Amino acid sequence: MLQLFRQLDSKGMTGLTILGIVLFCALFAPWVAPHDPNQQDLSFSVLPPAWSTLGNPQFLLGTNGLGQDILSRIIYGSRVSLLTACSVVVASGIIGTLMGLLAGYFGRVVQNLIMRVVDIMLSIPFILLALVVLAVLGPSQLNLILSFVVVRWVQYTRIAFGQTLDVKERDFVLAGKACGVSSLGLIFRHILPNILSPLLIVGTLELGFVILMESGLSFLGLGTPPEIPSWGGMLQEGRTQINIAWWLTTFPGLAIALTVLGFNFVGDWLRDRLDPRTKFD
Amino acid sequence: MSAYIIRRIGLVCVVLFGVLTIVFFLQRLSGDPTDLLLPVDASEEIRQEMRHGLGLDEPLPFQYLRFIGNALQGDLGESYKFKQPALSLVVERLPSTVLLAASALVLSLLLAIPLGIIAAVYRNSWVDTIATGVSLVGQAIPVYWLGLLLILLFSVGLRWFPSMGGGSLKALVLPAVTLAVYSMARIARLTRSAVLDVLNQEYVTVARSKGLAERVVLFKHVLRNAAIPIATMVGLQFGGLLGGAVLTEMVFSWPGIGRLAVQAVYGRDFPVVQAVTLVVAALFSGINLLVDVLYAVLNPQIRLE
Repeated sequence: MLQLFRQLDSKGMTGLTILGIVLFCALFAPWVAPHDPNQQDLSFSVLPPAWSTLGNPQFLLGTNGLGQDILSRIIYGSRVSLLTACSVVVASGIIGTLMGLLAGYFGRVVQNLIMRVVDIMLSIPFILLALVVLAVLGPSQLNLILSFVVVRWVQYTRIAFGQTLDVKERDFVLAGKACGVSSLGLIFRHILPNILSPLLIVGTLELGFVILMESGLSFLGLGTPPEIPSWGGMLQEGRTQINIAWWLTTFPGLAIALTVLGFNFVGDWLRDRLDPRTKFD
Repeated sequence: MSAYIIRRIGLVCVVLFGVLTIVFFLQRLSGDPTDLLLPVDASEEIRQEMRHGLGLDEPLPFQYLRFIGNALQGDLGESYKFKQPALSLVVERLPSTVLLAASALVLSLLLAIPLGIIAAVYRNSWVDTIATGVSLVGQAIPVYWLGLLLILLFSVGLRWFPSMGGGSLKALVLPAVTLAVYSMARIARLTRSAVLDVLNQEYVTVARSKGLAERVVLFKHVLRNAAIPIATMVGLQFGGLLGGAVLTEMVFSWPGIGRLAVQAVYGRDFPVVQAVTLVVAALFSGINLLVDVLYAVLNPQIRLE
């Protein structure tokens, strides 16, 4: 791991810096944010950013229709995005990797069963599939996370499956098998550690992707409820006032784009460092 | 060759059958439709009658077989909201979505492929830096946010294009551009790495050492070989575009199947959600089948197992 950070290039550096700032904002939101994100004050309603002539220096990025501070809402919004992304990636990563290991290690029947399900899942654009699951469960924050887990585990299964097929024929696994190591031992102690780095790369890129999609579904009103400040929810609010208040849509979107860019930078850097031969494009 | 195509078609059928099955069981999980269809104070008797009418009082395996049987005849149930066959609702709106996705695909190919080639040929030059930057940023921007910014700039500010609705060529511009950006970024990036891969091959060195003009090397040797991975990617991108269309259609009120699907989710109009899912899955599988077959035709090196 230390070795890895010594090889930090400009892309990795930029990415880690962006993510560091976002993580800091999420963890210490009450101290970083200049205002309470839900504090309403109609006398400060729809103020433009501080640098424009009508702006108020108290509200750097302006306020919304309820007089809530945009900057503070963006800072608190990072919590929703990061929490959702991490829960989805951890849960779908574990399930997907397990499925891939099983499909790759055990013979035809298990492999066919799992990989056919993967084919089916991949034949439906994921956002539509997430919508189907949300239609069943009903829109809410938790259901949004669940629906993403249902949809995204296949990404890890594809990679883990291919890698397991490759690794299980290598000498050290065959030797372990000859020594009588159990299937479970072979899978978790010998195969899994050797297929982790491509999964780590996919996971990093998935974090960015999930943030994009979570904000998209919250934008549609199918995710985070409006009381909790979230980037997608802010864009949904701003959409109705796009004629009069450009700052309501511009800044939350910028926050999403920067965060996702951060994850993509780090993912790219990890790919260059850990696995120069593998391409996931 | 024909054996391969038949096998692939068989696989597509298996996949679509699986989608049908998943969608059926998800609908059963979604609860009692009479809660949605009838007023809250409806009597239990009326509810029972409606369940009977919908066939919900039969054993599950029967319901499943009937669902599959109906689906094979093109009957995916009736929309709760519109009181029309769900499939025809989707089919009516399909051309709008296909038009949008196809325009976006053409647009992104026209921009991405030259950009990717130039970036690879002039590797590490300023052109490459800009192209790489554009493709990284393009993949990080939320589609619907880009749509809002374009509305802000070109509809609210400059008043060049309408911000909503379908029907005219002018109304197509902003949604198509919005939808194109993500796939443009992906395709540009893939084109660059595909061309770079080929440039490092020995046959390119041979072609150069024969004294062929750089232009001939590029067009006759490099691009032809780089075309294969790009073609595969394009097929996959079309599916992504159909998915991305969901958000784009919502931003621009584009009358396509994505918007239909979201509205059906709001209203828990499950038959419509099912129909959209099936149609899109069929479309996507069909396109991938086509790409795979084309791929096999174009590239005789590929051994068909």
